[in-house]
Amino acid sequence: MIRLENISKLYYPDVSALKDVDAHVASGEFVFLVGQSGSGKTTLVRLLTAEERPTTGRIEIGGWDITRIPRRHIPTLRRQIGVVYQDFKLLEKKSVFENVAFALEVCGESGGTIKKTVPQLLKIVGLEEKMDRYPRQLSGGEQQRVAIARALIHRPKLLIADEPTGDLDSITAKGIVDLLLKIHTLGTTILFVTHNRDIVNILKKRVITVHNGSLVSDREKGKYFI
Amino acid sequence: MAKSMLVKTSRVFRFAFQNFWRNFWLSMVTVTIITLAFLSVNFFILTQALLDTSLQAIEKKVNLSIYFKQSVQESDAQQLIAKLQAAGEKPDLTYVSRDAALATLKARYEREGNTAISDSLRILEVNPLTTSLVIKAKKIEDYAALQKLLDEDPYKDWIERKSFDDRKLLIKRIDSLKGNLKQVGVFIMIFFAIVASLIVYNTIRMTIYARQKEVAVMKLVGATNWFIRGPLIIESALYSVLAIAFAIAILYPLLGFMQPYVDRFFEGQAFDILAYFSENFSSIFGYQLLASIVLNVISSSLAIGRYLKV
Repeated sequence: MIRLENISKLYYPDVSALKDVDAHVASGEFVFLVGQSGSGKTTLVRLLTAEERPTTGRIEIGGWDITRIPRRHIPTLRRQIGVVYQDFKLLEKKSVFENVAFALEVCGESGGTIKKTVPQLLKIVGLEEKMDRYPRQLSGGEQQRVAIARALIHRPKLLIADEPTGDLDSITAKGIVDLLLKIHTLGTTILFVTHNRDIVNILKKRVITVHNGSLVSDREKGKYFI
Repeated sequence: MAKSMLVKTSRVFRFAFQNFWRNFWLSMVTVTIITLAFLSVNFFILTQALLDTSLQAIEKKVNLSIYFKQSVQESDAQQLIAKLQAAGEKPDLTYVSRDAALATLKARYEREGNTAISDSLRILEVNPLTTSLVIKAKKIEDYAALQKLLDEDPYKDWIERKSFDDRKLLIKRIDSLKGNLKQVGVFIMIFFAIVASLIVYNTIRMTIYARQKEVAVMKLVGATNWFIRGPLIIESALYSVLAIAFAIAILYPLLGFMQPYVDRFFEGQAFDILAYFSENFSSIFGYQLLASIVLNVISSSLAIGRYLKV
């Protein structure tokens, strides 16, 4: 699903965010990407969503080489991978329904399909009763659920969750993790970026650890060891 | 494909109206600033129109009267008239023969019951009045050429006196004032257009700056640049449409309020400012709207560009 070959990212003039990272995530896997703040986790996510380009190396997602993806193809890529962010990145002036529907509207999906699909997804994330509310009227956990529903709207094969529990209390965070596990059981590949030691250690999934921009460990059923 | 395009286009319009409504106060601030820019432009147009009317009023009062010598025959006067009519833009000429001048004079005094003039004329036994010609040029600048012509031979010897010299200074001043106003007007217009453009550009930039996070989120969920740019561009065009509507709604009552003061200023020289704006409605407001839409669309396109690089 994801193939990283010799990825390096340098920021002007001489800040090295990633150095020679090689990794492969197979389809249907649940993988933790862990590391301390500033270790390069978010840079890696930004490379996967084509917000940045690597200085050297090659990135492939679902067999598509996105290393030098033309700007006009970036929207297509982003519709094929779901991304959930720590700060939710919801549109404040749109309701819950509209936030999720927006991801379908941008690709010209018909109104009928939107009216049918969005409530189904909101039901999965447990927000079918709150679809007319605005983000500011929801709790942090609920906002993250909206973001997850939006990320899933295109039924992506890959879901990248960048610190999805970072702004949430432990009980709410557990609810979000359970939801991601449920999505994983439906066949979606999950890349869970976090520095939450407890979540990583409890779930006993594959753990890729980055430190100072380098991949220092890649273990099946690993633990957070830094 | 065509259906999908249509769906996307209709959504672009829907989002534009939705954005406007949901960012109501931000939108209203933008509309208010553009409205003020429109009002300033229209007051400048009004000032120009009033100045033009003032100059026309003064110009209308200017004429050149010449009084022929007693010896000049009517045929000579007609020769001069023909010459004047052939000179540049035909001036309006009012020829007053000696007999006509006398009849007018007599009639005036008799109306007042004064017989002194009739008695004097009876004693004199000749008509002492001279033939005169009132010349009204089409343009104030024409008087110089006309005067030059009157100073030529043989016409200068036919003329007893002219009232032109008395107005020479006034004409010169009006002429230079008009020229200066035109120059200053063009300069002010350009200056004003630049200032208004910068204000509108900055307002639109600030509006988009306030929504940069929203733009970034749209990009991250897979919106194309067109899908983000479209509603913002339509929204900025909507600002112009609303602003011109507000400007008209404010301007017309104000013009009505100002009309009596304008009438008093021009003393009988009718200048209906409401009618002036109504008659030139499409050219005044149409061009302003068009310019504003073009400016807003360019401003929003430029302002949004930097936030689309997500």
